[in-house]
Amino acid sequence: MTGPSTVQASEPDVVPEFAYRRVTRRFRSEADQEFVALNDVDLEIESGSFVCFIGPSGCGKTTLLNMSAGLLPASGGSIHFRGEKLKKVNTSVGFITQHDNLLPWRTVEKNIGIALEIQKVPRKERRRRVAEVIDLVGLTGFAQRFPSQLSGGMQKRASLARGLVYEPSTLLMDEPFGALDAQLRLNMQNELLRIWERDRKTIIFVTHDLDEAILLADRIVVFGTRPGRVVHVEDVPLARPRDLAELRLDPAYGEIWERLWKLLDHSSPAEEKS
Amino acid sequence: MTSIHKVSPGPAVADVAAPPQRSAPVTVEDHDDHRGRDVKRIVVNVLRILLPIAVLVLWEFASGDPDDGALIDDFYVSTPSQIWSALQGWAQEGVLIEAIWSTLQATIVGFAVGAVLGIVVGIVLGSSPVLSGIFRPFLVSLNSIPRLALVPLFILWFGFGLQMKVALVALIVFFLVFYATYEGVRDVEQRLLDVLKVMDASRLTLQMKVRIPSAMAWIIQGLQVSIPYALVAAVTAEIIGSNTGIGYLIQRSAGTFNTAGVFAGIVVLVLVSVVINALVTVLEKRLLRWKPRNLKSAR
Repeated sequence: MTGPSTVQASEPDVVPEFAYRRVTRRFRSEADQEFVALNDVDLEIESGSFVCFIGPSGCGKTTLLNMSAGLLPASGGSIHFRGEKLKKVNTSVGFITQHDNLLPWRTVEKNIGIALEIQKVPRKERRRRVAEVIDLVGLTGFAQRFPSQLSGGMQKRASLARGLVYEPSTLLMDEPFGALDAQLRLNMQNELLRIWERDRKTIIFVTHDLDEAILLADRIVVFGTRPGRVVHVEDVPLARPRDLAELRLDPAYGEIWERLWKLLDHSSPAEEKS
Repeated sequence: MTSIHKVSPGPAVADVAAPPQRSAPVTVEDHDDHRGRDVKRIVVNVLRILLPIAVLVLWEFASGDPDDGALIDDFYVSTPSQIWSALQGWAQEGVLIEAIWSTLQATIVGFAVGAVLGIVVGIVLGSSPVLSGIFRPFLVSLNSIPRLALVPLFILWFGFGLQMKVALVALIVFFLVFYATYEGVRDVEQRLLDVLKVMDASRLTLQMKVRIPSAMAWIIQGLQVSIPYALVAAVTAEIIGSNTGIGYLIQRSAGTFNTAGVFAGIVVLVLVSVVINALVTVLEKRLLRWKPRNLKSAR
């Protein structure tokens, strides 16, 4: 149960999207004390799979996600993205953070289109693609608003749209639906599944909600604390498309839920930052 | 069967944070409340007009020759009518417009020079820790010099004309704008930069699309704060050593014991600064539209 877990790709000759080799990350606290945020992670993530990272806060799941985006170097070990060692910012991924991180001085439309602006996509095409994702996330009619004029849920959706608009082949998502109310959350989860089933992007999705993880993922990576580490990897063989209401009645669902819940329960409460 | 569907626009409309223009529901209580507020507002506005008139009238009649039994000696405080005729005298002489223009010229040119330098240096040092490490200590010590002590030096360098005034104004504006810009650029949130880095943004893009717009609120505030100081600096330079401008008129009047002239100069200064402040407010509203504060003041 404990110790590094390795997930083998189904076919050995296929290069995994992400391969983590003995990845360790240490931080230095204010009092100059070193602590280990993430210890010795060995993990592979297949291309096109939907993987959830789950664990209590302080387990290093966000740290691993930030490292996958290349925003944080590993203190030990290495991360390989599509076979190549990750050395700088990973510009092949879409990064959707816990905080919406919208630029407050830009309208919704201009916020969402910023990646296309950076890629120098012509204005006309930019407008068309932005309008498409705005429609997709249900923000039609709010394109000209500033983020401060939107509710929290709408800001989240704008942030999701911004991550989707330039069609990165891989999505890194850090508790993107954490602050949403239950109904909206369900809508967004379904929407994300729909997009994923259409495009089969690789998605790494960080959450601390077990139901959400089982509903979404092909594979769930369970993290523990002190030090942050991977304690278990669970395959979720439930049929797709999935529906949360029906899923709850499935005995397989209950089995997975119970097994993971015990793992999460046994992790010590966290004091470190995630 | 399975509820895989698009997020409907229904809840989207429902969860708008604050619909900006929604009239309050009218209940009886609300109505009374409105009336009370209206009365208060009228009282405030009427008093605002009456108070200065009362002061002027009092001033006019209480001030005069003390030998004639006047309450206050007009040698020290003059009277509104004398101030008015002093203004008229300047206007007829043609010096009034000339003085205003001269002061404004020094204020505007000095402000522009100081602001541009302050913004450029602020952005450069704010986004480069190395350059900031090298130059910041010098700027801090330079900033601790009382600026007015440099006026004699400026007179030596530039004489009594426009350049000397511009130099003082620019120096004062520079430091105010520099500090605001520097802090603003450093205040930018790392997570905003990170999100754009992942989108493959270049350093220049980060600078243009995140750092500078993010600092804009600070920069504008720095500019706004320094505008009154720019006027003060120009007038101060004129009082210390110049032969044109409103400050010079005040200084000349005081030199000939012309109290009415001194007050007339101050009146002109008040009017000029009121106009400048009004212009700045309009400009600020335009540039910082995205600020939540303006959402409220829009109604």
